[in-house]
Amino acid sequence: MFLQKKFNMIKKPDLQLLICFLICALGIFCTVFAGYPEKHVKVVVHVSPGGGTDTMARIVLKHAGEKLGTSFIVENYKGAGGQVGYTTLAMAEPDGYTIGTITTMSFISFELTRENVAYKFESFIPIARIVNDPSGIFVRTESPIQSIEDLFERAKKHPNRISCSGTSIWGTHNIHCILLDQKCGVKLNFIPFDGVSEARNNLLGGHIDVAAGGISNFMSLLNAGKVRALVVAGRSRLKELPMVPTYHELGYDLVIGSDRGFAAPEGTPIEYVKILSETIEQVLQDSTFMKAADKMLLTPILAYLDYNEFNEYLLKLRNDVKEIVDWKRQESNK
Amino acid sequence: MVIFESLIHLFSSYAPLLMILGVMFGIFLGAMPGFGATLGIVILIPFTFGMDPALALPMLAGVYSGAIYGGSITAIMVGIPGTSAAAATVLDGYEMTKKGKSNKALTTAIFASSTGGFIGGISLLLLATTLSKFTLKFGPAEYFMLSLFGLTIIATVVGESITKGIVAGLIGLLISMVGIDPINGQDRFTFGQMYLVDGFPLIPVILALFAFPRSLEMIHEIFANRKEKLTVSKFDISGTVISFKELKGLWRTLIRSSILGTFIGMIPGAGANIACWIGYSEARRKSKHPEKFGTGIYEGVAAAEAANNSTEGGSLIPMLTLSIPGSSAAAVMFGALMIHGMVPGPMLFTKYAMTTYTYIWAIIFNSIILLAIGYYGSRLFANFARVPLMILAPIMLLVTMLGAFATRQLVFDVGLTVVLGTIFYLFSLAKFPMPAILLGVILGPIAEKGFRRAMLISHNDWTIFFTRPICLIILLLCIFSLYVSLKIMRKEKNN
Repeated sequence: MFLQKKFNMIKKPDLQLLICFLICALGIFCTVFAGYPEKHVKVVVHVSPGGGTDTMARIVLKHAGEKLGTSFIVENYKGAGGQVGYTTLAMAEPDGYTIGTITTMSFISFELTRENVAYKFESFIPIARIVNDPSGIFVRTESPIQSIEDLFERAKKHPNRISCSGTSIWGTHNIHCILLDQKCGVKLNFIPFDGVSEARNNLLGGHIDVAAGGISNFMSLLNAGKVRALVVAGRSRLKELPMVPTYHELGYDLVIGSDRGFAAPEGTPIEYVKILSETIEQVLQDSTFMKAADKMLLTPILAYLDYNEFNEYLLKLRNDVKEIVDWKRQESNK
Repeated sequence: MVIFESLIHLFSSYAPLLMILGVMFGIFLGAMPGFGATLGIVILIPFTFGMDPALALPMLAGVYSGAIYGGSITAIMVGIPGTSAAAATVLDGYEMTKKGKSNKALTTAIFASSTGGFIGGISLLLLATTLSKFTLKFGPAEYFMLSLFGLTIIATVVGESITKGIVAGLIGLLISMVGIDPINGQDRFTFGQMYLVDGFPLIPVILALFAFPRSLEMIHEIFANRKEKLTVSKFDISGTVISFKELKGLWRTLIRSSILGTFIGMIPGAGANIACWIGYSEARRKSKHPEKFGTGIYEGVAAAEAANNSTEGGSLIPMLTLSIPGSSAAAVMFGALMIHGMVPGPMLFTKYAMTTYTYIWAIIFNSIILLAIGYYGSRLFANFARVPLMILAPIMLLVTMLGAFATRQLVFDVGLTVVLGTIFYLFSLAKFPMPAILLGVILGPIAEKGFRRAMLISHNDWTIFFTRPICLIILLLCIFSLYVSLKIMRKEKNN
């Protein structure tokens, strides 16, 4: 009432018009930038419900949703090792209301190793990395192999004789073994299995000699004393495994692990990506989130990278993997 | 003692009510072809997010038990297995319905399912850690031998012609080859289709093998006999239920099938699909009148149903102790546990012991709940046979299409079911046994992966299949099983 009276007292009509215009402009300005996200965001998870990536996505985004005042609705698009999910994400509307999970190596490798892949690396904008799970080599506690140097010696004496279990061909741990060949001259007999639990089971049962796998997948066995880690392919020793060396200490430049994070389809406004990236960073520092992550044994592998850093990281990884794939194909043709 | 405290805990909460609801939901889903235990659990998981795991897990366990039994309802009443685990139940169950004995078949199934679930649950409760060591002994070579044993069962389900049975099995193997090569990662027969990269999805294949041809058969019957008002069985279906005396006579079959099912459930990747066949074929082998199997005897139904329900307990043994899911439903439960913060592994029996044991007791008691609901429900279910074919056939067809869509939410799968279903319908007209094709499809990947990995590990030394102890045992079982099957067949021919 008061404002209306004041407004009507302004006699010059042009001034009234100007004030109206300014108010509208302010309103429009606010809607454009202060709103995101205004409605719920769909999350295309490329693996089946209940696995490591799916649970990570749900819990991170639950907290992110609380911070942003919206909800993230997870939908699982599993199939073809993740290709169904990635394709769905690449084809989605880049309006900021569809994001998805990505994991290496599948995110990088499919377009290099499969035919008829409907997307490219450039079809996505990385948002943030949550997890980096370094790959390691593990043996049963009773195994005669005592250390990584011991493994190298035995493998050089009997190339291709020591069996090593891993997950899929061109997956992180297969690439780990290829790098062992390329950089260290160590040839292991890589046996692909259908998933981490099969690879682990076969190690425990004594059917294969060593296993290449992610630290997070072997942590519970390590803690239970059933397996030993020979090496961790990280940048430096993990504080949870202070006795386990890295390749760097042995003089080899071999760093490899699985990354898990989020991405959006190419064309999504960069301001939205920035908002998501920063919110996720805040979530990872939140104490309630950390408690939940601890319960799920996620803490050792949390490794945040923002959208720029993640993008650069993935670009470099893509170039490295391309080189490795080409090298391996050449070797196999010899 | 945690074991007893958890039992009290189970019954002093809402859990029993949720278990009853879970079992009913499970029976309903299991009876619909194409839906099933795994899907049921997946659907309910989001609703359980906020729930106390000691309430959520018993309910999900109920869904599993209910679904594995539920599959037998449609298997018996219309000859379409509601879940792949009920495929063996069709053989005798449907024949019994045609003879007007559907009530007996249904009640046999419920008692057998209940016994199986109970024994599986008790094994889980008492022997989990001991038996888990058994699971670990199965490496690639053992898996190959196991699948070979499974393939010898094709001889059991052959029907008229051995040749057709073998060809059917080989067709199943061929179908299972589609997808990514498990060793070198190359696409095989996918023709550039992303949705075939994982191979033909199992549920559409099962629908294409059983549901689709059966529906077409029903439609054919309708058109062939226009004047009559047809139902599935021409006899009065208010037949007798299974008597206590008959049940007592079944005790050997039930125990044997339940134990077999528990062990097979323990082997990751085997599961209820295979257990039902092994239970069935072993019962046939040990029976005094094996040639009667397949003509509609309740023993066949009992053997199949006890085996498939006991896999619930069995598949959880490696899951809870070693974090290795024994079946796809166990894998979904794995996810359910993770979501509730219970990472499968040694901690389940220490830090989370109360919840874990509550879950295990729930599995045991679900079998009793199942018995109650199923037995009294069976009179309801038997009315299926009263529905005129003219109504039943299109409904079955519709449910089939829905079921084909349900697993991956892809229209592609519906089209796949229709195309494959038409081809299999033609095969069934030519009297090729559908179960043999199914066995080929299920066992093919296990056989191939086992064989190729074993050869990679041993550097092409094929004696590995004879020198490893478990392999040798299974090989001898294969030979014995084949020998007995051939003897049975010769006896049949002479009659």
